[in-house]
Amino acid sequence: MSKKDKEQIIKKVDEIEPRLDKPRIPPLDETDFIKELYLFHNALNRLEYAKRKDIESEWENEMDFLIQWLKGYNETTFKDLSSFLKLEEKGLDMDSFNLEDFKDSIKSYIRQEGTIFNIRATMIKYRKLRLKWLLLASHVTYDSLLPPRDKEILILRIAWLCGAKYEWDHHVIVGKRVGLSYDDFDRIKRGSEIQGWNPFDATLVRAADELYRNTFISEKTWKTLTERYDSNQIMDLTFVVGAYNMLAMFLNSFGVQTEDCVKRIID
Amino acid sequence: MQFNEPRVPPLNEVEYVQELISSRKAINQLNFDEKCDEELDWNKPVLSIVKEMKGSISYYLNPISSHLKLKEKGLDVNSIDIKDHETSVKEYIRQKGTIFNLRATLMRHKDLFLRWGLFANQVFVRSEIPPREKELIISRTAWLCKSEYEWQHHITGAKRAGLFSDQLIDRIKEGPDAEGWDPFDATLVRAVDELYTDNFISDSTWNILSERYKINQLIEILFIVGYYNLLALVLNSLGVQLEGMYKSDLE
Repeated sequence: MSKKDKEQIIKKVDEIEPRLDKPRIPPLDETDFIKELYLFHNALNRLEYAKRKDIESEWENEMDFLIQWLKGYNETTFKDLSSFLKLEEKGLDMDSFNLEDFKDSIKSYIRQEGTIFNIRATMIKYRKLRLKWLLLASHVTYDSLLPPRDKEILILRIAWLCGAKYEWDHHVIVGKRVGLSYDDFDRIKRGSEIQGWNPFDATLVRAADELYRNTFISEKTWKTLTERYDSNQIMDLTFVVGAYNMLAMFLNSFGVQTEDCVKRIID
Repeated sequence: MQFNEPRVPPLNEVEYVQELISSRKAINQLNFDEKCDEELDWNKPVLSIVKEMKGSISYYLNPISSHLKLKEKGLDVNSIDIKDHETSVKEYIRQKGTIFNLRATLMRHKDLFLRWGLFANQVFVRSEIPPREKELIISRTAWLCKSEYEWQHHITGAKRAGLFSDQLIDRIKEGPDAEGWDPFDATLVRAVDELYTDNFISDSTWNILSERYKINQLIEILFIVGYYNLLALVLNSLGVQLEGMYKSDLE
């Protein structure tokens, strides 16, 4: 996140009470986490996708896209980390240096910049599940067909309904980036009946509420959604609400704590 | 909560099998350089994903091609025009088509289908929670989420595998306070109820679970309940119809 984003975020209205004030299962420590990321990154780089030049199906494009995405996933983190540690100036690179020698610097890097550290450093204890979640998340979070602002309204509403502080805190930051205001955040907390909504935004909040309460989108809400969304987008809508509800169960029950750097931005 | 017809219809049988074939061709071009370095323990999960991707499509496709007796006819699934076999494909899917409507609906959205499939495979097939306990968690979730589709598929599967008795199914419907529960089973069901109502496992339930379950299994409980809740809202909202063979199981 850039400095500019940080300055734009001012004040929250109400708080979600955290379910647990310390984790039931602690995350990996910073050095172990970076080690895992590094091994993960190396393994993903061994994936090769040979897209045929002659016959192209949509599936090939999807596969190609997915593999490229996976390979690139941690690249920014390593780039940032190695410039934070000034590896280049020291004549080192990520492949050749011993992480243990940089323990303190890694800690301060993650404390300062590591925006989504605790969730990853907890889930990564179960490698296979972490990888599978990343695959699903790569769709619902990053390649969803929903407009980013719509998607964040849905995520924030389900996070609020689930009382998932970690999810809410992080998505306030994302929401701000995609154009949601503090008035929007306030309305998202108060629900679809409150005044001042743009009608379609209110429909999104209502859809999340219905999925949360009834595991079902009512006929009326469905009709309004289909006026704007095609069927793939509606599938994405149900998946994003369901996936963030799932994540909320995990975050709440494990007691994953909002990182200090995130708290500083949103407080 | 089921409709008589889907809001988003599944692909028809021929389209579905065509997509299976085409996706297998695409996935088969994925390779993993296996020069294994003992230290790089991430190789294993990544490699297993590649295998699962390839295996999962074959799991659905191979029985179809053997139903069509392609080998005996000197044909293979990649070179035939599936439209020529429409009647047999339909017949196969009507008779044995496991989770056809769900997959044939989500398959409309390829990017989602590909990534969902791998996640689903983890919680459904590769789970580290013992099968009977996993099915208990899934069935209670399906019951609370009022997903007829999920409930029928899992109850039928668990009965066939000899995991569930009729009494157990009644208890699953009744919940954690029903009579006759094994105490740990009741705790699993209670965990589902707590997650469904409050998105949180209480201290007392957590303590009992963590006496028996390792970290991976504890993580998995959350993702099983979360995933089957996700699936229920997808199934209910898209109006995915239960296949005929499962309906007859209901009687």
